[in-house]
Amino acid sequence: MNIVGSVLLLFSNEEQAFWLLVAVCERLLPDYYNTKVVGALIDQGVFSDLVGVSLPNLHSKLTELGLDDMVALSWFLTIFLNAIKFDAAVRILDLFFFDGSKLMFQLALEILKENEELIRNSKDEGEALLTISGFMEKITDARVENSSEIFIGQLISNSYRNFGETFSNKDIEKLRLKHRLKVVQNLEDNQMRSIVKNVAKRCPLTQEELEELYNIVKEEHLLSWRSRINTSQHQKLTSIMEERPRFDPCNQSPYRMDFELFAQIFPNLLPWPVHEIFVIRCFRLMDVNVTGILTFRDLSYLLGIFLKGDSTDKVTLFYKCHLPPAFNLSDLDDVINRKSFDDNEPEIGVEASTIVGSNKSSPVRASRSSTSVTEGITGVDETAIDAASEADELCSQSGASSAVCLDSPIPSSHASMRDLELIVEDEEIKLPKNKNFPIVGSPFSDDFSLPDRAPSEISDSFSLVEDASDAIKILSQKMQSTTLQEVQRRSNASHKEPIEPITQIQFIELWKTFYELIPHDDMQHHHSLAVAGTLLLQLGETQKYLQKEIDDAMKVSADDEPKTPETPTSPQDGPPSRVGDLKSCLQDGEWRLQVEHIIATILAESSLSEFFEKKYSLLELAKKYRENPSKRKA
Amino acid sequence: MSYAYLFKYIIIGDTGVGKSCLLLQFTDKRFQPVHDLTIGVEFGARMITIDGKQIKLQIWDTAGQESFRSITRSYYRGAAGALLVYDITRRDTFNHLTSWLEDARQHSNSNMVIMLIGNKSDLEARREVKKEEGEAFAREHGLVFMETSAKTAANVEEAFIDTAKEIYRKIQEGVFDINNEANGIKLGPQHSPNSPTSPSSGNPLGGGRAGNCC
Repeated sequence: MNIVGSVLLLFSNEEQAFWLLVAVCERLLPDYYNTKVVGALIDQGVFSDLVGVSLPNLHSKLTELGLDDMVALSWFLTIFLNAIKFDAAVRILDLFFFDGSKLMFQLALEILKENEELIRNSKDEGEALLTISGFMEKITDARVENSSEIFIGQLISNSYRNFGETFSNKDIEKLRLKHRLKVVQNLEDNQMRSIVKNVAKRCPLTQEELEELYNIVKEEHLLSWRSRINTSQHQKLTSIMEERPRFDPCNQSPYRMDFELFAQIFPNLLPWPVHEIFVIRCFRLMDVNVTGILTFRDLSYLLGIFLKGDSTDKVTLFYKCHLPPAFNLSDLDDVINRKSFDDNEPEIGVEASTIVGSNKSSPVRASRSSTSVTEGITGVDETAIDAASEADELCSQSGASSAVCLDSPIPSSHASMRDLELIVEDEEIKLPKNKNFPIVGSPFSDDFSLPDRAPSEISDSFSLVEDASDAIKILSQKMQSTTLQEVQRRSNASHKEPIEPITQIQFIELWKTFYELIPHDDMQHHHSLAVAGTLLLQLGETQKYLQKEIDDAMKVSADDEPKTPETPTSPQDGPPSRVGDLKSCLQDGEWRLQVEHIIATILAESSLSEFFEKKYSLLELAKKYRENPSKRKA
Repeated sequence: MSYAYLFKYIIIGDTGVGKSCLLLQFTDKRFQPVHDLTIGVEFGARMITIDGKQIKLQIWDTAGQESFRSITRSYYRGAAGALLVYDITRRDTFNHLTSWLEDARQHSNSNMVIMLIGNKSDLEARREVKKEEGEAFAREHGLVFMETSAKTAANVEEAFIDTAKEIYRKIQEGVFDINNEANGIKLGPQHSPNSPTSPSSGNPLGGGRAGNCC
């Protein structure tokens, strides 16, 4: 385009040159000068067709040499300015504006025709190309008798005589339409192949799975781009523009994802249900440049590890999702705001837990009218005891019962609070076997609730925690002897940079994410998760008190057991270490756990390690995704 | 002019690193300070002698501009050798090498000999990429490395010929299947059993001339 533009400027003023260039770009050579020179590729197909019709013998030879769809590329891209001496080329340009793109094609045909004999005798493509380029060099604007030079005027008039009537500009338009689809499809396929190949090198997903994923992204993209453009994604679009072009093929893909698209695809291809906040965190984790755009590589990295990674990688990725920048304190903004916003909430919280406490002999089940909180675990659930106790404690102490556990950044927590109120005020209390205590309810997840223990089984629960604390000793010894070191070794091998330790509040968020992964009726995993969670919470506490090296702290956590007893489980007593207390979480500067601790603890629980070790097929998930159009929003 | 082998080369690298000038220097033994942008692909050929055998080098000079990537990619296929060129006075051309290399490895046959070339070695004063960096990159990725100047012709011959020697060595070792044209190697007419008997017209340009460079 710069070549054509510069020549136009030689012969006309700026405005005229501009409008001539507009005519070239929009009408005469459509799509020639976009980033992929698509128009020029289309016209190669068109030209090949025309050669096939007009010069069939030559066409078969050119096809054999693999030149049929490339020989005229540079001619057309520069309207011969690059290929023929300037004086001669200007005459072509002049006629080109008079006659349209037809002129370009007929001239190219004439050039081939005049060299037909030589080309057909060429032994290889190099010889044919040299023949043609030698011919092009001889074209001049000066009529010299008896020289080997070729007069451009003669060439042009020959072209009119031989091919002037064979096709019209309309025919060319038709042919362009015919080839457009093929070329674009081809480019897309190539791009997909190159992206998939590129991504596959460092992704556990198979080629087939990546292609399927790519197609899903593409389809969703095409289905939704109109609506997304219209609904003011302007900011995000400009951020694409501002991004500096890089050579990663993924960055050039048109199918990049803003959050909306990511949230549409990613959670639906996971084998477990996840909360929206987790999706947001994953997005933040991958969006390192804060452009608001993820590439296909980012998506396949996430899915690759979540579906196919080994348990260490998987847990590490979950862990990273709960560290900054993926974790953001503003996730909890609602928690903090709500404290001042609603003064009587603490009372309600206390009341709620008092009710639980006072009804020891008659376990309650609160039935809720609101839709925002779903059924929790039915059946006796002593397994989730630490989670429940954590919740109770929050109710009574910080009064932020639902808030701490509130995941959604959207102020939706009131729903669950109202539920609580309903429970208390309406006294809509029934007496089934146990009670489900709605801790978290957001209209988005609709399924996250931490079950309270049945009060009649409190003692059982205590003993369970004691069991658990016994287990701590065993576990921490076990961990120290083997797992921890192994994990550290493994993670040192795979991650060059050390991973930041996790704070208590982040840890709680992480555990909540884990809880959501597991189906509500899956007692075994809930139990394991609860045990591991308690263990780690206490480990973190120990660390906080002792401020020692990690390894030392682990040793001590076993010795120190009596000092950090299962106090959290008795909310009314106000334990010294208020595990899970929002306030202490936020102020706490010392509660820390390393990713190795978490991995080691999880791997030590066989059911959990199995759970995280499990591999999933993306193809199956994709099939489900396609079969379930309800998930695809309009 | 007959030849024992024909090797197909491809020259790749960022725009403006001097790919076309290297080719011009090699085929025509001249340097052109002002050179047009390469559109799509251009072409040059020259005959060389290795081990007493005539070898025809068929060199595809690609456009470095990003827009032409989809076109140039189709030329990797069937190339026996590649010259991967960067400009020692422009650091970003060096930084982009990995992506070029990835592209080349992805689209070519695995035996393709790749020569890394730091061009414009005459512009020592404006050097941004140290020779050692080029050497390290080449070592890391298993490439042959050379610094050249298309202007002074320093190392230009060597770059093309050493690549040919390496390909020739691979042929002798049987790494390349010379009967498979997808490898970018062709036997000359007198070796090839089923080729037309005599190249009557011959090569009008004598094999020593560049194509439509400039």
